[in-house]
Amino acid sequence: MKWNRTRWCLVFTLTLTCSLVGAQQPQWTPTIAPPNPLYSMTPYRYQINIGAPVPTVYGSTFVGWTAPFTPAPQLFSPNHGRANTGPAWNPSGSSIQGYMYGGNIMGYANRVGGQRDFERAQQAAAIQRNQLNTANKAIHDQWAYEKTGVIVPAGAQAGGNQSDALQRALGLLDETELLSGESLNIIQSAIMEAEARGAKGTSPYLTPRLLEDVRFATPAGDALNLIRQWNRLPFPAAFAQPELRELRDNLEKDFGAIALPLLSGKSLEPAKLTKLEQTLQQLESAVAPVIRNLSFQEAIASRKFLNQMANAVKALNSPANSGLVKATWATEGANVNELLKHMAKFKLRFGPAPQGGDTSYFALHRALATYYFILTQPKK
Amino acid sequence: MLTVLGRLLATCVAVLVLSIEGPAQTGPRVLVAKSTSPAATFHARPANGTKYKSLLNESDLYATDMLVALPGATLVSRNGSITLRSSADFDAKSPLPVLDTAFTLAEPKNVDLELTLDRGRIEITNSKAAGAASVRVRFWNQLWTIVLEAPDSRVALELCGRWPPGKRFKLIDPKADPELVPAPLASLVFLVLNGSVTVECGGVTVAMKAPPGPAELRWDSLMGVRPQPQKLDKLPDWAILDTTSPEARKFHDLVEEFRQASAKDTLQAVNSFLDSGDPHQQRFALVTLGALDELELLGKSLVAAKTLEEWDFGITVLRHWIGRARGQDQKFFQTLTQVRGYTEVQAKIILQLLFGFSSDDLAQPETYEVLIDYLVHEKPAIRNLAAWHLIRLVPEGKSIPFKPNGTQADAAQAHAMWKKLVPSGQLPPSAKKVKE
Repeated sequence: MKWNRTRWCLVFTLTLTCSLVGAQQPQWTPTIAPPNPLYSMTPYRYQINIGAPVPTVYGSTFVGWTAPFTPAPQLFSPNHGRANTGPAWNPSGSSIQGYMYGGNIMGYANRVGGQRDFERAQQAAAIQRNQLNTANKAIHDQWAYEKTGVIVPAGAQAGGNQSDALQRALGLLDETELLSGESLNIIQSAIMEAEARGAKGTSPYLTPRLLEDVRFATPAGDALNLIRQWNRLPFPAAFAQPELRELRDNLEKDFGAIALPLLSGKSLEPAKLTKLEQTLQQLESAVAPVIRNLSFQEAIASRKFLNQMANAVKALNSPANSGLVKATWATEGANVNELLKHMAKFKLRFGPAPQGGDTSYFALHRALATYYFILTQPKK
Repeated sequence: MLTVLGRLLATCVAVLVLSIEGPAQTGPRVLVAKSTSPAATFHARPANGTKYKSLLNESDLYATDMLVALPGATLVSRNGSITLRSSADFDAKSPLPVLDTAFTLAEPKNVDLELTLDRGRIEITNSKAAGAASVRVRFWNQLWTIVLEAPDSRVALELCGRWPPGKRFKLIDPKADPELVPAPLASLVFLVLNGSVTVECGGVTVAMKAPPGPAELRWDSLMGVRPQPQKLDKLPDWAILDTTSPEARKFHDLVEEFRQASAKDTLQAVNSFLDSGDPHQQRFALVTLGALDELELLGKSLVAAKTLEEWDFGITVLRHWIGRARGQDQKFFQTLTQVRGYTEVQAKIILQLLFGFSSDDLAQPETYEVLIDYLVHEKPAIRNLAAWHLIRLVPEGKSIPFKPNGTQADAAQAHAMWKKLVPSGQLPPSAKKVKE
């Protein structure tokens, strides 16, 4: 009898272990599915967990089996018909198709991948939950704006703490945030903090082609962006109008006269900068009446170009910005550490990706995130 | 020969005129309800007509006519089982923009009243002596059947829309599939005010009751219907009809004054309210212009408003007009270019300024710069719209004098002051604070 009980216990334990080991790839799905009226449940608020929390460098992650609890009949749940909705994490260590890792990676990277899936699913569920009131809120906000002029400008809605922001940036939960440069700036800050604490590691290499696509914000960043594009300045369509043609050509010529020596490692000639400043002023005066008769989007693009050019001239006039242009970037490339140090020296921030620069921004994100992981990996 | 040609020409002209003025009447008009309120509380426009006409005391109401109702306008269904009351929020007390109310009645099939709610707020009451009464309500792509379980059971529906801020205006080929035409956001709130009801919506039947209880249902154009009624402990303030406060009495008097004047001549009543100089009367007149689709007159308020109130609220009414249904923005574009003589680019600028800006737009200094540039635009409509946004986005500039019907010199003076407050390439002080 005693033997029998022990045998049953062993069989049960083995079965449980096998079911966990032989389970599928981590699959997190949002647990809310409106407008299904019979399946109303707040995502991840009520659920049954069988497993244990595992500490990681980002905090604790749950390993085991999770089943959402809902009073609704499961017949109507979005998981109805699925053989198994868990386990959520696969301890066998099979491959993760995250772009940061490529092929089969075991252990630590796998945990990070699983955690990222979990975060993505939570994010998707939260977005879905927020969308329930999106239209109503948008209409209400517009009405408030009309009535009192109340407006919530950019940045005011940004919630969450620094750690959440870093998790989002590393997990690439929002591609628009990456392409706006915001995610890269968050990772950059985290790397600088880690380096300030004395962390060291091998820094990934960035090719000249990749660096060419990187854009920087701030006035000095505008200067750097334009100098690197000196022979194909991004003139908006409005500047193709005949009355602006001559001034546009002059600007291109004067700007080239400044950019070329800087790109070949020579110093700036003040007389040429003064000439550029004068040409820019002439162009600004000629453009003002044209802008008023452009569509809103074209007017914004024209103003933006003029502002970038004015920022560039201002930045180049400042002695603090000598050495801003790194001639070696276009020929030899740089590593992440060198890029970030240069950015810190001139207080540069990453700007939005240029058209067609998506691939380079994804690659840059991969390099920055990898470097951050290397810096923060616990020492054995 | 000339006489024959002349006769032929005259016949052709007559046929043409008849084809324009004599709408094709497809069948006999179907009486579906009766107004129970005084003259001019309802304005009606036939399905194939373009102009609204004020209705007389206790008029018959026909299927397919678009009805615009003043606040407090009431009707009773053909069989007397349902009473409908308009609760348009002309004085903008509601948390949502339900400035005016309009709907179309239809011939009821297996229900007591059938209607399509175009916009605004209505209250529907079971006015039977005993038993349940039912109403079928359509709006956007929805079809709801509401059963008011007992006499005096009462529900309210509130439908409104706006373009999301930052949406870019896109000109659509008029021959394109209507489903491809961009649509504004729309939201509907359904509230049980009294008694118990069942609502069939989205293939589900939901039982509801007045607070305390499951009293509120919501629908919006993004997520569709969410047929899980929300429990309310009490009715929201905006849903309670206020008839005793001094403001409510003043508003009631205003409606009555307008109604009496409107019974004689609606447009004259509107003009006299607009010229009165009283902000409340001006608001009332502007909402009426929007409700009756008088874009010509509403456009005049945008171009040459005589008072700041007329300019300020006139733009709100225009935003309300273009946001009330799919394709309104395209209609306004056509009016601007074909009737008012604006170029395509100018009309696009006007539409974009009516749509407003996203938070990303507002984080760019160029948005403010372009708005300030528009302050000296040759078209007063663009100048006025740019100023309307600027005083909202940059409260520090509220002290800068602005005349909606001012000259180019006035505009240039305001432009210079705005330039000083928000220099080129910089964010305004208020936006900078938020960014920090």
